Amino acid sequence: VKSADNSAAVRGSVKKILIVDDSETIRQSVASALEAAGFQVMQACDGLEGIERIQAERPAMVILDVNMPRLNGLDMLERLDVKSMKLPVLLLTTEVQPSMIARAKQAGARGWMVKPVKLDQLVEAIKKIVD
Amino acid sequence: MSMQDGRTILETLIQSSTVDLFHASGIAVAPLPESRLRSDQLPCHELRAVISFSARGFSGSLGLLVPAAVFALVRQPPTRTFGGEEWVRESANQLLGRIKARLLQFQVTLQLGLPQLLTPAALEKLGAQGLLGVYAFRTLRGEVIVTLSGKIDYSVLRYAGKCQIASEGDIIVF
Repeated sequence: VKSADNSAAVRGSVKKILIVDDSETIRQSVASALEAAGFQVMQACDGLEGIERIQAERPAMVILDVNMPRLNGLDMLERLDVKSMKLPVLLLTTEVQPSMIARAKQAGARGWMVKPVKLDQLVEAIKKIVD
Repeated sequence: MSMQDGRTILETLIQSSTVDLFHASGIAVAPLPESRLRSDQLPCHELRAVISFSARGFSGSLGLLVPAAVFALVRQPPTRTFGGEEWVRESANQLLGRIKARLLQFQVTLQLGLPQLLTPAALEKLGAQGLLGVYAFRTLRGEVIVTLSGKIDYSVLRYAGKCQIASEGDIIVF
């Protein structure tokens, strides 16, 4: 999945957000809203690609799906030491199972969002975390 | 819980989840009587996806069939677009996610598979195998179909009261 650079981001001060989701529908919808809010957006379509992009691009924040092929979001989260990396991660998923939410919290996630979310609320939540 | 009660509950969950799913995309849908369609008479709508599920007493798949004309009503993001096949896959995922959330209060925790596109041949095979349920929904641009196949032991549904769980649209900051 190619990243979508916008011109403001290339100039320097714009924060990079990585969206990791196997659904193009979600990636495109969230990316559109974040770009409109001035963020630079990168995309990955599963957990393995997500780890690669984090290591290569050092995003300011990650939006992460749970159910994905190859490596799911919770397993990806547990492979990364996001607390010591000081990398905020928000899960964006249809899952509402309390045990999954607890697992994400234990692994250092900053929040859990249940699809579908209103994009303006999502952008506000992201701004509060990265600013 | 009797088989009939369990079946009625599951049908209600499927119908209400489907109405909510399309409402979130800005599309009004209305459930039609289940008996209108037979398993071997499924319409081959252009957009088709299926997602598997399993739990104690539950094993099967949920199908979502949508005419392209209905997808044309879906709001696209202003600066990017997505295609109908990607949308129907994600919609099947979100539909089963909603059903899973509602089943938690009946002490059933579904494990979800990954959504996949359904070929015409696979759709025909699905119908020929016999379905547990075929649910039709009327829209202004044609009928949306939801199918349920597999094996379900309705006796495992036990109402445990309203659970304190996250809801659709919730943002929980830790």
